[in-house]
Amino acid sequence: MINTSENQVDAHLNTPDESQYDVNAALFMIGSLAFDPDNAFKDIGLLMEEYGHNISPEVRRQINLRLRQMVISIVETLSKEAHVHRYRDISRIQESLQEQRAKAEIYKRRIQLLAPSTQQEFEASLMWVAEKGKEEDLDLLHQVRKSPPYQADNISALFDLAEQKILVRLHDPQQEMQTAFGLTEAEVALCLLGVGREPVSYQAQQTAEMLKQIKQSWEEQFQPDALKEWFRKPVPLFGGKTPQEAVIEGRAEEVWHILIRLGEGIPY
Amino acid sequence: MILFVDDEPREMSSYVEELRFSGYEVAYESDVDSALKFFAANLDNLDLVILDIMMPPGEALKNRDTEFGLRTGIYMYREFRVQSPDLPVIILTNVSDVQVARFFHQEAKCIFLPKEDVLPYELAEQVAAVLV
Repeated sequence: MINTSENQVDAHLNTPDESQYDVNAALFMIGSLAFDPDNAFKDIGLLMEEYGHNISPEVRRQINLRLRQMVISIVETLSKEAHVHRYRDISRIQESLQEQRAKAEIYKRRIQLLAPSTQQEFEASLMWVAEKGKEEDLDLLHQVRKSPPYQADNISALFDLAEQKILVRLHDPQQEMQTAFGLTEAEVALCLLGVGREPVSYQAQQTAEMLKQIKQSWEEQFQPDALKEWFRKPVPLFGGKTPQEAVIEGRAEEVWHILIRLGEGIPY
Repeated sequence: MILFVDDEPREMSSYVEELRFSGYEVAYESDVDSALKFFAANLDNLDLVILDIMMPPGEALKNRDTEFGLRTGIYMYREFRVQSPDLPVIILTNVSDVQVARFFHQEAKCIFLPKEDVLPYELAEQVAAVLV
């Protein structure tokens, strides 16, 4: 299951001499947090059947939820540890930890949506899916809606809103981003991937979301065509780098915040 | 004292624990009605409010257009502001809508933080910066 013992954490994250710190080993260890409880349950289930026991679906769900929550807690603890000790390459470590935390959060929310403990938990999960849900969550929503665990007017409305919001988010293909920012396909890919990111990484997805927000913010405040020019113009707050270069460095959110301030008349 | 308002106490427990570990007194309220009551009764003792946005509207806000709870915190924020215009507020939310973010960015004494980007120790650092 989780290959993260206290000794391993000490060995990789608590090394007193920073120069000895092995970033790749830490990243490998963090990657091991991405375990699959369902596979673990198969092993546990087979073991218990041998002894004449079964794990009920309810107990299984509770354990699954707790394991997800445990991953989030481990990530939060490791992140603080890395931050406090100012480890080398901390941004790569933090990015990797954030990715695991985000994955655990998504799985946890999906479990809660399928089998919530309370109506409040169910509503909270529907709200979360409305804001963060992705294409694959549409199928999940349809499945849950066929036989919802709770029924109320506001729940029906939340189902509608969640579906609408996910569909709106899906309607913004990469082609549109190329046109808006005046970028080639390769340049869009570089913005999303930066240096050394995996295409499906949390960071790449976050950057894609932020680029959509930058585009939307710009179009609400300025002439859409001028975005291409601004995106390549050096900005003092980025040390003379352009917004495009800042995005490639993984600072898309900072670009968005500066754009919002610019729209409010605050110069940079 | 910090008033922390969020309808998911289990998810927020690590944030609350981190703040308490950092030495802050934290009052946690998990629904709109109890949070508004607590706010009114303890206004003079509050140094900061940490507020979620997506919450069931409760009795107090059931007639407001909260988008079935998706934007409840905006109305709560306005209620707080009416009673205490200068009290610092940190919005800690899963909402990523650009309009909502912009609204809070434009507010004085208000910080907008996406939950997914902020770990418990980072929230404690933000609180320390606000309460200097």
